[in-house]
Amino acid sequence: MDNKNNDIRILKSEDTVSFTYPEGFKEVANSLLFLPENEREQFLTSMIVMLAQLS
Amino acid sequence: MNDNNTLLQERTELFDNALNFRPNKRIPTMSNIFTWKFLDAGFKLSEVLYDYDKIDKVMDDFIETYQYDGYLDLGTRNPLRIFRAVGGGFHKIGKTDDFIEVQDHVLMERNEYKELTRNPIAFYWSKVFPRILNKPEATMGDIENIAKEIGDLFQYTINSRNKLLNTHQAFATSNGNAMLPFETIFNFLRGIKESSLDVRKCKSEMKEAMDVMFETEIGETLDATFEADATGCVAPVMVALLGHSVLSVQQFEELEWPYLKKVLDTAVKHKKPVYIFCESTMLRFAEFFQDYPKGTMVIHLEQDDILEIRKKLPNVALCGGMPADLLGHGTPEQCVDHARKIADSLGEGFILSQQKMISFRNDAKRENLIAVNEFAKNYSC
Repeated sequence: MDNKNNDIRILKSEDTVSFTYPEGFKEVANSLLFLPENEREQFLTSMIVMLAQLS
Repeated sequence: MNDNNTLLQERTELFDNALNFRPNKRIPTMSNIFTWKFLDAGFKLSEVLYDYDKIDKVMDDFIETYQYDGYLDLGTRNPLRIFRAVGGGFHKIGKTDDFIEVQDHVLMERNEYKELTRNPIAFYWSKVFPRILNKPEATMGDIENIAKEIGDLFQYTINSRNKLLNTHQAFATSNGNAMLPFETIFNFLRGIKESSLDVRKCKSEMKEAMDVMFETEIGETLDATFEADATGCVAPVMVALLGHSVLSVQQFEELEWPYLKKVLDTAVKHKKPVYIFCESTMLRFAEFFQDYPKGTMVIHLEQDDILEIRKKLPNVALCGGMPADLLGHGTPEQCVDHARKIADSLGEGFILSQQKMISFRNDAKRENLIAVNEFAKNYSC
């Protein structure tokens, strides 16, 4: 069983993330190249909510 | 129909009958076993929790050995690889490498409820996420690492759910988890201590925030979750309760019940059940659930006397019955005698399981779990 997801790519990995909203949020979402353009913000939203609710 | 399909059909009927108080040919069983299974397989937690292939192997062996009808955990309760990617999180494997500590933590301040209310997603991004990362600044590379780990966890979860259904013909708990707003505040955003104080100091701000959180995080997708194919799930939706443990009945009515009621009413609308996983006790809140029709929910109990709850809630299917004290320190005969007593008393509307999340080495003995499952396979109710 392949439990690896190897197709994650992102732009400008050395750049510092801006935690402003919506500008910084959108910039990071748009760099999630492994996703179709219309799914990036939803993924990032799910990611940050999930991280806040993990235990 | 091959043997596997026969087993899946049998388990489908077992859970459906239990939730709807129909007679069953035997007692359905649910595994409430968490990190204990890794210890049972001979691993230290640090050896296995960072490796999905090892988790997968443990799950296969665990399912083959114990043969539960359903499983609350597929090995991902503590996704430590994600916590490692975010800089450690609030989790730590204990010194003896056989338990996990989760620190009570605070990700928002008391005076930030209004900001959370204005735009939860903006708040999560600009305030909560940087505090989880716990460092002055993050790079896009950090985001990439976290996204990779989440991708791997999703992939593992999809694979293991498919294997549970198609290879083992066994059930998972649910398709989705409806995290009630007070639970998010209690367990994650404000922590146990601070949220307990908030209930007394700023309840109206909490309520405003929770109304928005429910709509943003649950309300918009609730109907779709109930409508989705739930083959291989005991219920389409699960609700886990822990925050109620610090609330009075009146506070529960204000802070948990409005949202839980929306979930349960949606379940009634769709004629599909909800799996309520209730840590701590439920007895003092039982009256809230008394008017729902049979088939609306199953409540998995941790510390309640299951027979007392049944007297208060003859309309609600119950899951549990086996205390960790007995499973960890009793004999197989004592465990089976206890299981028989519970099954004889409850009859229909019952799923046999461990009351507590079985996590520590002494929470259960292998021979006791096997003896109880063997009893359940041969007991008609």
